[in-house]
Amino acid sequence: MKMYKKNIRNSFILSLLILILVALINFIIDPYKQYGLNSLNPYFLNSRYLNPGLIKSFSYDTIIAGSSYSENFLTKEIDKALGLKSLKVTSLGATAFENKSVMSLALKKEKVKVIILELNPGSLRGDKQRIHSIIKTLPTYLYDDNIFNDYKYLLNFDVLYSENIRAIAANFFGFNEIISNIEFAYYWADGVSFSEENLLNELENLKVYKSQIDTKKVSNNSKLQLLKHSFDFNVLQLIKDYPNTKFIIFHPPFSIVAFKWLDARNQLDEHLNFKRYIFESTKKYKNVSLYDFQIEKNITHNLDNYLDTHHYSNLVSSWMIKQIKNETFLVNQDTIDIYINSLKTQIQEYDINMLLEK
Amino acid sequence: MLFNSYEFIFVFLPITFFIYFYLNHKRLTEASKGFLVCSSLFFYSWWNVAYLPIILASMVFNYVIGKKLNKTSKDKRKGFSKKSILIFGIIFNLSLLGYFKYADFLIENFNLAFDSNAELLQLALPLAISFFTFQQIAYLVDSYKQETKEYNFLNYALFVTFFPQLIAGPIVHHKEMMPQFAKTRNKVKNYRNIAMGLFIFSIGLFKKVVIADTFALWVTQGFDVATTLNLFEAWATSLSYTFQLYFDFSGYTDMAIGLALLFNIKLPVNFNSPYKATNIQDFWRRWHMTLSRFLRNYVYIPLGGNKKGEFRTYNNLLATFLIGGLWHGAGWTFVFWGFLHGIALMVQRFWSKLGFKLWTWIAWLITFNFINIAWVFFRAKEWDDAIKVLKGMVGLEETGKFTFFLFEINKYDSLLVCFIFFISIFIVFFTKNSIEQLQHYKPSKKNQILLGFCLSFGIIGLSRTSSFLYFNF
Repeated sequence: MKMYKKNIRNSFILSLLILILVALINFIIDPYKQYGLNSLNPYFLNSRYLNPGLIKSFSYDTIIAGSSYSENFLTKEIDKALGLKSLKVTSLGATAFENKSVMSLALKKEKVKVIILELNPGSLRGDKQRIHSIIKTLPTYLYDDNIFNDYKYLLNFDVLYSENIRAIAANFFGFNEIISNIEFAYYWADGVSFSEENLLNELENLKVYKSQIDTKKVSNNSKLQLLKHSFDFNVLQLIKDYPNTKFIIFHPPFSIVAFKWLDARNQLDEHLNFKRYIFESTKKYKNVSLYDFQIEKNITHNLDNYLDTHHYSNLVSSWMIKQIKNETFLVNQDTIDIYINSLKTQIQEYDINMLLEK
Repeated sequence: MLFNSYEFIFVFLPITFFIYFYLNHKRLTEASKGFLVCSSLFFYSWWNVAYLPIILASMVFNYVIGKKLNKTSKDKRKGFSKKSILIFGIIFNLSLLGYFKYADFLIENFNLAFDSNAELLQLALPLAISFFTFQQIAYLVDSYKQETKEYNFLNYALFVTFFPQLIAGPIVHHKEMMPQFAKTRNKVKNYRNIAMGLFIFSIGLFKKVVIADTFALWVTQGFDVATTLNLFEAWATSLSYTFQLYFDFSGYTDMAIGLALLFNIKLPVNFNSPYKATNIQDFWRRWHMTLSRFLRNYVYIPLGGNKKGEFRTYNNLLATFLIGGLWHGAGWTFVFWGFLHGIALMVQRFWSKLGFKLWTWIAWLITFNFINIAWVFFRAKEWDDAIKVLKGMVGLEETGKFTFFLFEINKYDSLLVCFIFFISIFIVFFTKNSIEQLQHYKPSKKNQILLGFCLSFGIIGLSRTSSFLYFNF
């Protein structure tokens, strides 16, 4: 019996030593930048884990939140055009609640002058606290300052293996250097080509267009209601709570095909009503500038700007920055009806069959 | 509460362990049992306290019925016959399971068949209901056959709720559990059992959180994210799942066995190197053995087994496996998986009747491939996902150029998956399994180091990151 007791004790001691060693390694490399900047550049890949660390460790006066539609913004361009010091904390497929999480953390940590936020209706769908289905849960232990839950970071298997190796490989061996450059954080436009052909392929491959027209008949008020709830909870509340922070929010310029698609699924009215709701609920707040880029035909009708029906090129991102600088496409009492009607007319007039026959 | 969680390992388990043995040390045996039942119920309620009444009701009901069965003699002089009490008991258990697990499945199919629009109930499935239902049905049948009896509710509650086996088995029998709880010798801490229990628990934890959860990276990408898979990707996806499931489930069972050993209770073996099987029957004698035991004793044999002629035997095999499939999940993919295994058993039976014999390694290859393909249906959330993977596996999705989507997703993670693949092949096919290791356990240096290593990496594996890395928009 004594021997077994001693054995158990030895094994426990060994475990403890391994755990301490691992925590130490993770603490020193700190791939998610939870403990300030060290000599290793961050590796911009697993954004939901890295973003809170960026927010804690970098200095900035502006943050950019959103999904893949915002990842090709270059902070340099924004800083130059608007005279700011910006930090990009976007995530692939970010939901509204995920955006809120990064915005809230930044607003608590730093004096944030400006928040640039993409309003992608997809992100606002579903439950107001929805997390991306593949992610399932946000690593909330990274989104706070409580050191007592840091064990989930310091004793994390994937941090120990993948994240540390990535950080070391990128910094010392030059692999994937661009992914470690903060100027290009989360930028994906380099490896892909934007062309009408791509978009047509997508339509062809998915063969969804027609089937969507036939089957999805339902779109109802309850979904609009959910969108509104989500907007109030994830965006409007922050606008109210931080009157000294300017919120630049924008409707991203999806291609006209995306809107035809929306129409085919009977979701166009919902979309337009939601856009109107966003304007109505934010118009009284002086700290909001709302932009609508969905009506510029030069952009949305030129399908060579697109990777697929929704994802536009980096040139379009740069174009948006210019518009924000010049304050064009600003939604206000004078323009709201014009913009909404214009989009509606464009969609009605656009002949999708011509495209499908190509 | 899950075994692979901080709250279980660092709070629940140590507290329960020490108080249980402290109460026993003070000779408060009944109190110690009561304590173990209460903590098991707490363990169960951690997930959702709303389902506590369900398990309690199920327990009280089955205890009463069991008692009635024990007391009623075979001839029915007064009241209901013994058989009708048993049937009533079984129907109650199945109704409870049916309501929570299969109601929506039935409604969906009803809607589909009659083009109607009946509202789904959207009930959350009470944790472990499939397991405690089967366990208690077995208890009723055993009571009916006078093979076991229980006149003490506390004992009965302990049999049902004992937390190591509550959530996912092994499915235990009353007659194999209660004598162990009754033994005085089992009421004192036994360091040999503790060492062995921690050993197998740590191996199980490692299998679950390090090995299985690493395979999950490719499985999720292949099944849920990718739209098409080429030959190589599709095989990598399906084999990853085949390994993931084994390491996940057998790891979980190892943990259960280890936890029970801490309390000096021996749970039945549930996995015995299933992928070493050389035919399907052999596989079912090695995979989820306590479920196979249940299905054999309480479904297949009551249906007539192989005693009622060749035709009925084939029928019974198929029926048993259709039920087995449905038990695993309320969906047609599960039924189809059961169907495939049923058919395979029929084919095997027919084949062996003809007297043919295969070389062992060919037999193994066929068996393993069949199991691997059948798991595709088990895992797929939709038919389309299963078809996608299978199409890829037969090379119907070749695009001409060699891509490896799974690999490109995340090179370093994929390197780890490859590494784990090699290790797993070695572990699964060429080493003694954890139970065999346990049977020959010696307090050697090697085992001490293995325990320390598995435990620490098991703890590190409790926290992993889930990444959404989808470069193909």
